[in-house]
Amino acid sequence: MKDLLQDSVYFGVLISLSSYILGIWIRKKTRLSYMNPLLIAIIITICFLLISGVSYKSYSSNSSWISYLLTPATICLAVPLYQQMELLKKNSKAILFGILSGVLSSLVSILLLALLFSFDHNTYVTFLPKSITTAIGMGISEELGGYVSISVVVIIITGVLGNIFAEGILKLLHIEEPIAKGIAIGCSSHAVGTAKAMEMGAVEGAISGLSIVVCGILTVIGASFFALFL
Amino acid sequence: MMKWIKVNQVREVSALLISVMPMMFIPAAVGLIDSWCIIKSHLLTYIIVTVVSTFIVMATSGFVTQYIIRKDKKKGENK
Repeated sequence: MKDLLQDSVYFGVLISLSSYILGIWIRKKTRLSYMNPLLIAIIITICFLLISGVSYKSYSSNSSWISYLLTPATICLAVPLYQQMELLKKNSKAILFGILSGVLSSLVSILLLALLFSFDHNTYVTFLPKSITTAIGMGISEELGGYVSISVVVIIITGVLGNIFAEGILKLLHIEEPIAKGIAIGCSSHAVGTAKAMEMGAVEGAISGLSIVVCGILTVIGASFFALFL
Repeated sequence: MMKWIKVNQVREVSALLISVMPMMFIPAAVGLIDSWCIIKSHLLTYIIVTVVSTFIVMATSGFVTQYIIRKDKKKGENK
């Protein structure tokens, strides 16, 4: 049984897809925001691998085309943005400063928390790219000498946190402007958070998608500078 | 703007890819299995850092953007 699963080319895809579908189903049935389909799918897949004894290596090698789709999907974020072009031009100043403040607050808060918990350099740089998309974040972590496998997990957990709590937190803080909501979600929790922003509205979704890309690029520059501090 | 590709031609497929985007993070996140032994000894610290900084970024960028938008709106009204 184990060999069959390990050798099958589609096993990784099958288990990932079916656990995600199950996650969506649970979410629909319970209607609880913390029943996040991605979180459920991750837990089910991990449990399945642990029980069946299939190694992560063979799972990841035959589920790689799921991750492969991430790059074209990121490019697709340009489409809703294109449809909001007028809004983008009209509010360019607010958007620019909003994103800049997001990138800076991310790097500064990680630095302060790292000092507080006396992280070593490698752990510190592991967390630096935590608010940006995995594709760029992995590269930053690797280049600066972080633990890439931990960075990836931290980045995805950050996204799930944003996805689950963004709506409540933004309401609590009285952030009501759709553009401000989009920036807040995109800067703090990249693509996984953006899925929530898309549900909230077209403007929120488009601006959140824009923030992912701009934050990613700015963090490449900012993180290598902040890496010098610790 | 050159109209080589119309939005109608790409809208449906891009909406589909974006809607299933969270699914594409599953394989990477399952990598937690491999990094678990390094993470587990500092689990609480890592969770605090992740949660706190995520909410700081969300609050800061949201506030700054909303502040500028509302200030510009007021300026527009006074003109």
